[in-house]
Amino acid sequence: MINPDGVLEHARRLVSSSPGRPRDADLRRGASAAYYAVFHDITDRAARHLIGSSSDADRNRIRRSWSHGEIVSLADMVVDRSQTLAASPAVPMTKELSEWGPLVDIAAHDGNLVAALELFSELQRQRHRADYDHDATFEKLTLVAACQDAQRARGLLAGASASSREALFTLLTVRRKDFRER
Amino acid sequence: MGYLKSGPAHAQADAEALDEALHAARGIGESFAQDWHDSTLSPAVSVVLDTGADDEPLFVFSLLVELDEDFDVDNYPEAEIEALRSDLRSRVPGTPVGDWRWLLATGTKAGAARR
Repeated sequence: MINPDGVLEHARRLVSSSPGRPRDADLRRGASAAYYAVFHDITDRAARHLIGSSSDADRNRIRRSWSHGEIVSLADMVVDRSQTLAASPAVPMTKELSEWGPLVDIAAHDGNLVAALELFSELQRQRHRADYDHDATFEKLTLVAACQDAQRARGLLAGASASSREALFTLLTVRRKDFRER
Repeated sequence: MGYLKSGPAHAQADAEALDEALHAARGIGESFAQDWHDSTLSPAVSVVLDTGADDEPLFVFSLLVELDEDFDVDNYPEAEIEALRSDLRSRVPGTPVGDWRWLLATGTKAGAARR
């Protein structure tokens, strides 16, 4: 089983993988791992929300259903809504958002959850740069900051209200058409 | 969150919106550096319009601080740097650049100079 704590610890170890300046490959892999720690935390929580009484094996199969893109798409939707509400609390939901009833607003009203999702989205962008952008530069400090962001995102997610997490994971579930492993 | 539209009719509008966002992003970086010029970390901000996942525009804010590139992690000025990062992040929403994808990368001036 992939343990988010272990993944984040792996990322931290890569900060000091060698004396002096770490190798570029280690810094990139560390930035990627910092993101994955949050990704796997979210899928673990979502699977527990969906089939919490099932075996580890079944929950792990469900965890493999969710894609990076759909989680970040949902995260961006909740963050956008929270920013809209902050600017104008009485603004009605768009047609797209109203499809999900009160779920989006329940999630968007929780500052901890929104902050966690903002960090998740940013870490995913950082991970994309680390894995695909040959011109992107990474330093020890870049990786230290990414690990802190990942730790903070997980702490904020844990500190979010149960109702907002339930709304988030329900949205993550009902937006899927199937639960085949990927 | 902004998204590129398709078709030539939208291309000009997208280009103008990106220019406006880049201008706003650079303004954020400049005012941030001015506001923190007394900090011992002497932060500077550079902004690059890059291409992110799905070929979407990605604004990369690079926060560069006055630290040895090979600093000892155990002596990392965590609170000071987090205060800088938090403040810079808080300046983006509600501006034209906040309508696009962006991220904050953190590094050192020494590392940037080496490159």
